[in-house]
Parts: sequence; structure tokens; C-alpha cells
Amino acid sequence: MAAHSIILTLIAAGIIGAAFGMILAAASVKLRVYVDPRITAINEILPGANCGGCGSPGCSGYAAAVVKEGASPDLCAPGGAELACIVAEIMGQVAQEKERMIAVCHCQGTRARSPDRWTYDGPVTCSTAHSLHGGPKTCIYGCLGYGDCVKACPFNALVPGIDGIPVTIPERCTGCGACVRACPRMLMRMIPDKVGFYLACMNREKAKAAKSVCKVACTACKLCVKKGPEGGNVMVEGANLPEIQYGVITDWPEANEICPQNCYVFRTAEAASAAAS
Amino acid sequence: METFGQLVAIVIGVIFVKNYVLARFLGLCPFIGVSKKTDAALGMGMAVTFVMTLASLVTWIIHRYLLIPDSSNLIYIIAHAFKPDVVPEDFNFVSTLRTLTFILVIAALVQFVEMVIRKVSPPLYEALGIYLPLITTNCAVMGVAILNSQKFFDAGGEGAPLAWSFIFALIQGFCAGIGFTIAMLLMSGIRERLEILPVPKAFRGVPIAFVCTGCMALAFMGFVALVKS
Repeated sequence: MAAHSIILTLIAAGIIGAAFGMILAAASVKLRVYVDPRITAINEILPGANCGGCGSPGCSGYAAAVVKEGASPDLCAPGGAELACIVAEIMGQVAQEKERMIAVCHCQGTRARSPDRWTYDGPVTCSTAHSLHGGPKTCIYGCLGYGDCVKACPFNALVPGIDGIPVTIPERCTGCGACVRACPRMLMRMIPDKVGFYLACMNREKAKAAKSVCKVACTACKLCVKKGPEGGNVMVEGANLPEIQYGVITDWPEANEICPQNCYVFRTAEAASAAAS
Repeated sequence: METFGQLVAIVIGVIFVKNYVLARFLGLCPFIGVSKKTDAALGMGMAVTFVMTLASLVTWIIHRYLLIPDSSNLIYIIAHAFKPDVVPEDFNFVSTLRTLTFILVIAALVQFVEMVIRKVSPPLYEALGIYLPLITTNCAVMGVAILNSQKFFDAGGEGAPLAWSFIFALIQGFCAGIGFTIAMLLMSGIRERLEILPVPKAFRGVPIAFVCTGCMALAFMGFVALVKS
């Protein structure tokens, strides 16, 4: 009886399994859904970091957006110009050259330069600190240093420097913009990789108010606009900040000799390698 | 009225008292894996509810007509047509097939449903699609099927179905999914808050999630007295 039962059980289980297998096989033929092969092709060559820099939810979302909704093929910042070319080729378009951008923190106000007004003891995130009376820092525009951008970076391109102010490692930065969206103070901004300097201050106050909160705050004195290269700097109305015209100048090593507050930061190879190590 | 009372007991019992995650500890891998964000947790919960209800329906039918050795057994009926002298007792072996058949049925069913949804309703597929394959071999779904058959058939699943058992099985499957969803949502809320808290390094991520699960399970112990088991 026992051997008999085992055989019967095996046969019954085999028949049930085979029946379900056949149903599924038939269903997979009958219910096949056509997927555009271009979506699969694009999805395969995308970096797969799911950084969201293109505006779509993840890489597969972007692949579908390119094919179905006609999204631009050069939106993938991590892939860069190379990938844009391949995507455009798959879509039968011609890609345009896109300048390589990297994100840097536009603040150099360490605690020594802009001390805390009060002691912050909450969750260690910039967004929470920022929402509490503008954060503990004296300068309400300055970097809080709790590392929201560092956590947001999918490529480990940001490292916390002095007092947590992030330092960008240019080789790793793909310009996806995840940190730009993460920073509650909007201090992470994109600059072209080829330029050698940037204005590291986002304080929108006027001279006295700016100077009183940070030792390296831009006082909107306009000296760089007046004495700098012609058309290189333009004052932004209402923001009390000059905006460097990277289309006109890409490097200006003497900037801090003119700027009384030493607001300019120069991107040197040593600083980047020191941050990377 | 008695039936209604039984129904209420099943609903409360399955959602709170014997919650599949927090009291029976079934389906912990999606519970820990997909509870990091509320959106994902809700999607997973809905997919599990959907699959549990369907699985309850199908496994009840399979159990009734394939796994009970009586005169309405399909295998017996087919064999009887060819060889009139067989008796239902010859097919006692079918009751040993229960676990195996349920695994097969649920896995095949989920795959099949996924195909159908993909073909028929793309928006529903967008919402549930990525979670469905994760549930094919989920132990909570399997648990619902087995507990249904143990609870709503005579002699621990060996005998004929009790009155109303089909409806009861469906309700139990659906409510098990609801209970799972509630546990998922509670957990995702906790974990979203945990993200920004200064948790000691060794506890970050899954360990603290398990500690929280334990605390929630303790809290759910408070429901025990609600329904007589």
C-alpha cells in the first residue's frame, strides 16, 4: 500500500504540475504584451544608478519616457555626452554636445567664520535643522553641514569637509543634480567643470547685515563687477550677489585680491585630491 | 446570527489578534524588505491582499474537489468513469498532496494573474506589477491557504467543508491581507521616522526594524483577549 501510495502521489503531483505548466505556457503566448525593443535597449545602456537626475523615476522610467513621451536623449547626466549619443542613435536622432557640469557647495562659512546661534540637538539632517528657525547657524543662508547632499549623492562624489561643508570630488561627480534637490538652502549649484573658480556665498543681505553673520560673506560691494574682466560678473538685482558669467570668463586667479571678503574659491587639483583621500 | 458572529470573529481575529505578521510571524521578508517607504508598503500590502483573496478562493476549490478523498473528488470521478469498481477510500493519498499542490497553485496563479493584469489593465499593472512576482512563494499567502483548509474543513482539513466555509475562507484571506497591509503601513511610518534619528551604528537599518517589529508584536499581544480562539 505504501509503495502504491507513493507512486500514485508522484503521478498526481506530476499531472497537476504539468497542467499548471501548460496553462502558464499557453497564457504566456496568448497574453503576450508587446514591449518596444528600444525601451529594453536604452534601459540596458543606462547607468542604472536611479539617481533621478533626468526627472523620471529611475533609469527604466527614463528609458520609457524617451521612447514613449519623446523625452530628450541627453537628460542622463551620469551617462554624459557619450551615452546621449548612443540613446539618440537608438532613437534615430542626432545628439547635441552638452557641457559637463559638476555640483559644488556655494558656501565656505565654517563654524569659525559663522558660529552657531544656538545648540541644535535634533535629527542630524539639514532639512530638519533648516525648518527650525532657519537652523542654528548665524548665517541663515550658509551651509548647515549635516550632510543631506552627501547622503543624497548616488556616486559618493561628495565628502564632508570642515564642519561638514561638502567638498566635491570632480572625477566622481556626474552632474545628476541629486544634491541640488537635497539641499534645503539651495547651496549646491551646478558649475561647468572647465571653470577654475566660483563665488562661494549665497548670502542675500546687504553689506552690514552680511558681514555681521559671517567673516567671508559677500557684501555686495560690486568691486568684482567693476574691477574684474569686462562683462565677467553681473550683479543680480535684489539678490545682492554677483553672478559670474562663465560664458565670458572661465578663470580669474586674482579674484580674491579684489574681493575684500575673500569670497571666491579656486578649484585646484590639490584640494580635490585631498578631499578624495 | 451565529454565522454573523463567526464572521466578525474571523475579521477581528485575523486582522488584529492573529495578525499574520505580528502574531504568526509569517511573511516577514516582504515586511522588512518593502517597508522602508509608505508608498511601496501600501503597494505591497494591496498586492498581498489581492493575492491572498485569490489564493483563498482557488485553494478552497482545489482542496474541496481534489484533496478530500470522497465521492466528489475529481480524481475519483475520472477513475470511476474508467473503472467502476474503485471506491473513494482508494484515493486517501490525495490528502498528503496538500502542501505541494498549494505551492504549485499559488505560484502558477500569481504568474497567471500577473500576465492577465499586464494585458488587461496597464494602470493596475503599474501599481501592483513589481510586487506580484515577489509574492509568488510568500509564506504568508501559503499560510492563509493552509490555515483556511485546517480551520474550515472537518478534522483538520481531512474531511468535508463546514457550512459557509467558502465565504469564511474568502473573508479570512482578504482580512489577512488587510492585517498585513496595516502592519506594513505602521512599520513604514516607524521606519521613515527612524531614518532621521541618531540610531547607534550597529542598529541602523534592518536590526532596528526587527527591534521595532518585536515591540509592535508585543503591542499586538494586547488584542489577544478580544476574541476567543
